[in-house]
Amino acid sequence: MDSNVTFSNYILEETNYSYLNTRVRAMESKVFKKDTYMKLLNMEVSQIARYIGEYEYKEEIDSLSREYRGIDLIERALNQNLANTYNKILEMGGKKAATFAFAVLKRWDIHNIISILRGKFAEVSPKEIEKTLIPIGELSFNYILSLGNLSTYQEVIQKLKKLKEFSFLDESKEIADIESELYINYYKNILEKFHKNKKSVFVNFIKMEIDITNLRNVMRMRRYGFTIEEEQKNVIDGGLYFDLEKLGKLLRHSNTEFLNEIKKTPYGQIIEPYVSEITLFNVEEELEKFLMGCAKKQFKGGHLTIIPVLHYIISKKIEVENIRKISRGKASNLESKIIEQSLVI
Amino acid sequence: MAELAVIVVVLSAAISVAVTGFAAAWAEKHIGSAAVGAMTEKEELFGKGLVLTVIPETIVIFGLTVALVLLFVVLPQVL
Repeated sequence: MDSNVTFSNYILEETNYSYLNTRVRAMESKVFKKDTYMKLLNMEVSQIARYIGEYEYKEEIDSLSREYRGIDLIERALNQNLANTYNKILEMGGKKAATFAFAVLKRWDIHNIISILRGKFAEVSPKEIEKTLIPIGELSFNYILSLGNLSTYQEVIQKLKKLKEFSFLDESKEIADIESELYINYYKNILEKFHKNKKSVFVNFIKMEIDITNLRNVMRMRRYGFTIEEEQKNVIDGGLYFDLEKLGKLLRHSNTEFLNEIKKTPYGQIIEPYVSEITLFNVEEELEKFLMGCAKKQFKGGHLTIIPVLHYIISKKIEVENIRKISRGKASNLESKIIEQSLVI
Repeated sequence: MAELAVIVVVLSAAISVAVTGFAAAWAEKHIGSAAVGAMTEKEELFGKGLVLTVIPETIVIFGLTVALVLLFVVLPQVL
């Protein structure tokens, strides 16, 4: 299957929710459950590759196993499987489903662009950059690969700027600022696109995601200091619980006030145990887990709506991330207990 | 007056068959698509899918029964 995803590649018929949702539910029944992760936790990297190759990842593992081994094989197979799965949903989804699915998949464009920019900034070879890319998104994957073959990140931005949706980029800016702009623009566009569905669970999820991205940035800025300019660059408007004004206050509150304010939202119980920790790694990971867990809970019911598809998209992403965490953890000889804590189950 | 009653009874019989026919078709459309969707991913669901797809046929049978009662029990009394 061609993994270059663009709107025009698909025959977008009317969405038949009965067909789509039942098929997606049948696909979801094959997503790994807790006991499978427990089995994977007791395996070595090569055994994990063999195990997942017996299930839904068979096609990808079989086709990639001649070229890759160990953790590289698993990473590639996971990315390819995710791309194939999302492409399959787009093909069978019809117009309405595609609008939502593309809104979610668009973030993979951002992921790929950021990976290329970081790679170019760190002067990594195109081959190495390619390993981090995921062939999903609205932009064609050949286009993404062509970006990876350019020499500098400034050249990448110059090429991207020719596309209308990325015309706001400026190659003279620092790479961190460009990343923030990409995310700010992504969320702005998505909220504009769905402004009529303000109360839909999908928009709620996006707003929650904005909150979590903002909280992560606020906590970083509180810890490492910030300027007014940095504040403006690193906060995104449109969150579920925090608007720009509240975020500004959160940045300037004392630790106690900050915690009291956060406790008024569901994020309080996640952040509180980690407030005194030296690094933000654990709290950021917990927030991500919380977001994924919430999405799975929220995207329930709605048999003749897009909800089951969104539930599956999230479940599949969680599965891929869990397998990735287990295999990377195993490759780095991390204790199973630590890997288990990082999983979203 | 008797003519009007006949028209009402006959129309009722027609409506009961027509509406239940449409209802069964609508239900089968959804159940059929859902069954095909499930079968595409899990072939072993063929049997269950087939049974579920024909269940809405019972709605037409209800409609037909009502129509037959109207035509063969109610109508002779009106006439």
